[in-house]
Amino acid sequence: MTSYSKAVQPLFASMALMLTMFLKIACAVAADPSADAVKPSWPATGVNTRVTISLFEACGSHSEFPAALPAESFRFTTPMLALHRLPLKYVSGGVREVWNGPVLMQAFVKTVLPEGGVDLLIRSPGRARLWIDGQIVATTPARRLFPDAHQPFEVYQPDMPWLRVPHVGDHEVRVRFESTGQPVEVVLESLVGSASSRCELGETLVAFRQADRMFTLIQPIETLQAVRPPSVRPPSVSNHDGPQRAVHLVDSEFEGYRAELESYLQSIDRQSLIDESARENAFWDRRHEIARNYLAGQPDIVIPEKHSALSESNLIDRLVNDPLKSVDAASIDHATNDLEFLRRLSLDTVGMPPSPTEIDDYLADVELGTHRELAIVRFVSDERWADHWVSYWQDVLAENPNILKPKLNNTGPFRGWLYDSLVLNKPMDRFATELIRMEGSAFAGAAGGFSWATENDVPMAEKAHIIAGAFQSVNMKCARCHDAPYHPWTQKDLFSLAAMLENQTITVPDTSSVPRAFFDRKEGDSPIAITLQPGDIVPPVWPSERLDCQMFGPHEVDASLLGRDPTSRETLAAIITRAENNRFAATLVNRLWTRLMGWGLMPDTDDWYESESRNSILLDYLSRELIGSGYDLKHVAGMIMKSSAYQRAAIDEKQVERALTFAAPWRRRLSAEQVVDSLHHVTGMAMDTEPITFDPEASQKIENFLNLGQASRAWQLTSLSNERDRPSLSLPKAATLVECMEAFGWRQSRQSPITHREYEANVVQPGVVANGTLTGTVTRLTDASAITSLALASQSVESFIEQLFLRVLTRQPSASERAAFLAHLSEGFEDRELTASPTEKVPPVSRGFATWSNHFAVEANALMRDIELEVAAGPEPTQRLSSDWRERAEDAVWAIVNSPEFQFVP
Amino acid sequence: MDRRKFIASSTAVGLLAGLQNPAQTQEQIKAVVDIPAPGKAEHVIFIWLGGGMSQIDTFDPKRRGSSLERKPGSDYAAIDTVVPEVQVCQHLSRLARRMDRITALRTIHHEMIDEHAAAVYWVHVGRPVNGTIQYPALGAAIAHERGALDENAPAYAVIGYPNMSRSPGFLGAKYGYLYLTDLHSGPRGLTRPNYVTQERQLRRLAMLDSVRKATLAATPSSPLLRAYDDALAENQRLAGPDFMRVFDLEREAASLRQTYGGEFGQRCLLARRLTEHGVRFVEVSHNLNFVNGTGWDTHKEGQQNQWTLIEELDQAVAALIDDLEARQRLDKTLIVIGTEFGRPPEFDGAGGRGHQSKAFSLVLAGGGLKHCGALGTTDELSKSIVERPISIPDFHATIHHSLGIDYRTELYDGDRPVPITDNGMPIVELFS
Repeated sequence: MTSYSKAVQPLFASMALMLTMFLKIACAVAADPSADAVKPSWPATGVNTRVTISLFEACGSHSEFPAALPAESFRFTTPMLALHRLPLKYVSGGVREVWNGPVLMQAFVKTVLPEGGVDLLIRSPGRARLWIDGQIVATTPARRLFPDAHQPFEVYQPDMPWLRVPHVGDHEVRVRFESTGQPVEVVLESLVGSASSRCELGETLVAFRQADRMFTLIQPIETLQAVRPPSVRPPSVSNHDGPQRAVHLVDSEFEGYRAELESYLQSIDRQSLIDESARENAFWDRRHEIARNYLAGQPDIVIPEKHSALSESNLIDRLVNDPLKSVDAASIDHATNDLEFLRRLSLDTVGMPPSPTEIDDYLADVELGTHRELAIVRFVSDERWADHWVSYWQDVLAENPNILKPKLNNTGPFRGWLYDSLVLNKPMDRFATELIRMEGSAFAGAAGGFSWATENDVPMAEKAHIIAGAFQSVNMKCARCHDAPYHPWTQKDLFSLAAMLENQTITVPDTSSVPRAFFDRKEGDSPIAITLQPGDIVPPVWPSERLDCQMFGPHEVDASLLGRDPTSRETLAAIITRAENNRFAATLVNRLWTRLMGWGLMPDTDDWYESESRNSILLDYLSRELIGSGYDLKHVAGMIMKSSAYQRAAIDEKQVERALTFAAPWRRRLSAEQVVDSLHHVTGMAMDTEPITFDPEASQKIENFLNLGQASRAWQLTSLSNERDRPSLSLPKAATLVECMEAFGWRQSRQSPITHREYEANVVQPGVVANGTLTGTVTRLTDASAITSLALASQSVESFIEQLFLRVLTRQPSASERAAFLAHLSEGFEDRELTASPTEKVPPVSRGFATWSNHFAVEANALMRDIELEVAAGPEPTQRLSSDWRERAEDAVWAIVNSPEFQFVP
Repeated sequence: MDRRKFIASSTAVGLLAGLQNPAQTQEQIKAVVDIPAPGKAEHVIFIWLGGGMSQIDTFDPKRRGSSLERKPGSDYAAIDTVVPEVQVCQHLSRLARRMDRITALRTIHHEMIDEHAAAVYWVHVGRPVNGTIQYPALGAAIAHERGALDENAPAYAVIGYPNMSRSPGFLGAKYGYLYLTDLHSGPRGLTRPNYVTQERQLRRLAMLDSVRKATLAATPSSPLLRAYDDALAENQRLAGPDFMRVFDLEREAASLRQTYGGEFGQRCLLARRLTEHGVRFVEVSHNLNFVNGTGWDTHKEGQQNQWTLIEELDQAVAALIDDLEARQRLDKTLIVIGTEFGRPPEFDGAGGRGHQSKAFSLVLAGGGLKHCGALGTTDELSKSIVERPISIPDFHATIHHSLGIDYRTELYDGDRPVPITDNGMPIVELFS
């Protein structure tokens, strides 16, 4: 507390502001007698140990409390009377929806306030009222919904140093309360969001203080400790019942609380997802039974005898090696060493290198001899698999959200559904069906977001083209505006699929055709033909035999395959995902194989027309494995990873005899997401971005602004949408990540689906790693950096260098590397640790927020310019290491992450 | 037909790809045969006025209105220029004296008014958003066609924020841009953070060198790895003093720097230096919205101090024209003033202006064109086009033609040919 009490005197400087607030409240209380208000009904249990929170949706006005409550929508608990977001809303099938605003949130808790006069502080972005023992003691005004971006730039002035600044857009109200020191029943009611804006909470909270002490969050009576020593140490709030340390309204403590609450909310979200998804599991189990029955009726694959000299671990190898029996394979039959394999496995499953603990666990198993298999099981079942695969499907399905007024052929952010599906490892037939159904709210991240294509004249034509490529390897891109010149299908075929997705007829617009002028200008015959004219009406029925020829199969669908009403859209989903359509399973295993091996079983991943497989038996075998496992892609991934083919040393295409290039993985560059995620992971630095939104106060129309939240993995980023070119609309931290990812082939905007990104090296790539702000940030040895801990824990400089190489490159340094690094790190190593007490920190300066509603203000521009400079300067270095040696160590980390080796999968 | 064979054997096949320019008339198409010889410009300095420059307050003045009284019309007086019968607004007094080297294209039009980003995209890539293709920005297309003039320089540079409209689209990262968001921070990817001293840099490179050698020794035959290693070496060379010197404006005479004016003017000066060192296309953003509160997006109160932006533009572009002329580079350097749309003659409730895309002005200067002060006629309040409409594709085709790039050429999105403009035709009047 010492650091607080020192700063008490100046707080009265802003007393004038405080007084106005008190007066406002006094009036509000008088004008809002508790007698007329609907009193919240106190829950029977739980309020002594947790704060119980009830949600009621669609409460009408965002400025007036409802006269009668609708049925309760959701109930959960928090440790303290403070929270920063609502749990996600899932409906049957695990479909994401937005909460129907305004939501009335009621938070109930029984607590004890210290005896005597207490100041209560209430923060809420919307209208709120605080009840104590059945009396309303304070209210806050309604949420501000701004019509434009011309609001003044305001700066909150805390009346005491260290007091956390409210979240942008939150109201703050304070009242004086006379406490008897006896237990009280506290209820905070708050109207969250509105019918037209996002249901966001800012940082809704209630705190109290006595005299000149720091505000403390209200907490349940049974978690109170007898003595509450005020503290600036980070709190250790547990999610369990029992005594907890008080949380003061200062950044370090509140952020610690918030992080723990966030992980608790994530566990609530996960449970809702699992529960709601499970409602459709029985249907999919039946579908998989039907699929297995279909498989049982197919003739067996003839497995060849072992002919090849190449090593063999499973049937995949038999099928890979068989066509190679006549080639001299000795030149490539080299297995990766154990650590190379682990690095490859880790990058291919969780998207980043193995951690030191994962390396230790793996090496400990070496003597068992099954260490590779055990590692495959661990890594394939790791949840971070979802993080690694979301970005793949974002590309293939052209997920293209835009956080600001989406008008650029944008989809909704259906990344939420992608993540949910991958984290549950949904069967792939279910995955494709859910995408095609396009259910749920685009604003909530649901598959419904796939249905958007803003400013596109026929969104469903776009979707049909994406679906055909993603799940059927049929390229219908050209048929968007005319008959496909190199494929047998016509524009009408694509529009028929589009109409099926639309569940109704589509009239061809002028803009979906090639203008007459084009043909007039052409000399000679044009290879393109127009057989569908603008104005033609296309019905929602299966198009033609032109699409039947080698894919999709017959177009009558048995009712047992439909999980919804028999609309044409549902029928199309079943046509694609049923087992008889062998192209579906083959497409998916080929995608997986291509991603893991670098080469495809089909030469062109997205377009199989008139192509032959490089190994049709293997393709067939893997397809059947996918179907037989209930469309479990991880099952097939595990099989591939166990093969000798996958475990061979990588080769560069064309470096060996052509045929042999198909017996080992091709050398692969890391994806942009892998680069960025790995940079954070190896240094132990958390990704630190602003919330990805221009409307953090949720004061704008929901259709104009998304809030994608703070990113913790690279796939969560998106276009920063500063077409307006305004500093006040920059997101400087996120921009450092985007800058790096773009250089490595990630797209800010995914106008069209792609499977293979450009992987050619260019000069920007090493430049952005060498000089970019991101590298400077993650290689800085801060108190949070894992390299700082390593530096402090290392017994010798040699051991530090070894551990550093292991952490970043998953290998030991060579003799020459060791010598080069020793030459720069030995000096000063012994004296690197500083024991001096940390320097006294100064309270943060409150300086306002740049947000959409005020972004035209001069101050908003100036603020963001300042922040850009601060971000470029990098985070605060640790004080525990001498600055000279620390810089040397930072240079060492910089050198390793800049090496070409870091950019490649081994 | 076998697609792969077809592509191998065919040339100049023009396929689809968002040919959505129905405004093209038969007369214009017939004019193909009469297009004069292409120009000989070497560089483009593309000035971007984000937000939507009000044509009626700048290059297409009309009868006087008043923002204070909400009376439709120009907010400023019109003044004569050196070109007879061509007037501009009073805050463009310097450019007025140079309009013989300038042409305001007053009848530009497209159909996106309610969202900036979509209009910014349209003007930059020459087409509306299309679901199947991400088109390259003008700068990237030109970088692709003409490359840099010096192997030590990038072809395409941006002084402003990176965004999708400036991106190389399907042409790929190779045709992307070098960029800096402001003059202080230097070009991204080439500028070392200022905390990295020369001593640290040498230490870093020494350690990096050991890892590079070890990697190449372990995998000597990998062309992929080697390509990245080569790119690393190339980057170190670009980041060296030879090219980085270009960014040092202190090397210019103080008096010259003064004539260019503030931050925006200095950006124009840097653009001139970049083109001199071989950069083909430089986009210069005028994103200084704190001057009047809204930048060129002059809704509401933004209108009140719009004139300060206009004067800043006037000073910088006039200085650029003079400077290029003095160096005998004006004919080689096409100056373009671009913006996403214009603004209507009427005022909103707070005396500002909304958006208008059916008639607005873009401006060309220098570049060896046959300038005439202004081209195209709008009605008495600059609300609609009366004569000589100029489409965005025509605007692009004109820029390509001035650089000697065939405006009918095709770029390739993989194996799919995409015409470089959406049926655009050069503005014949500008070529002799």
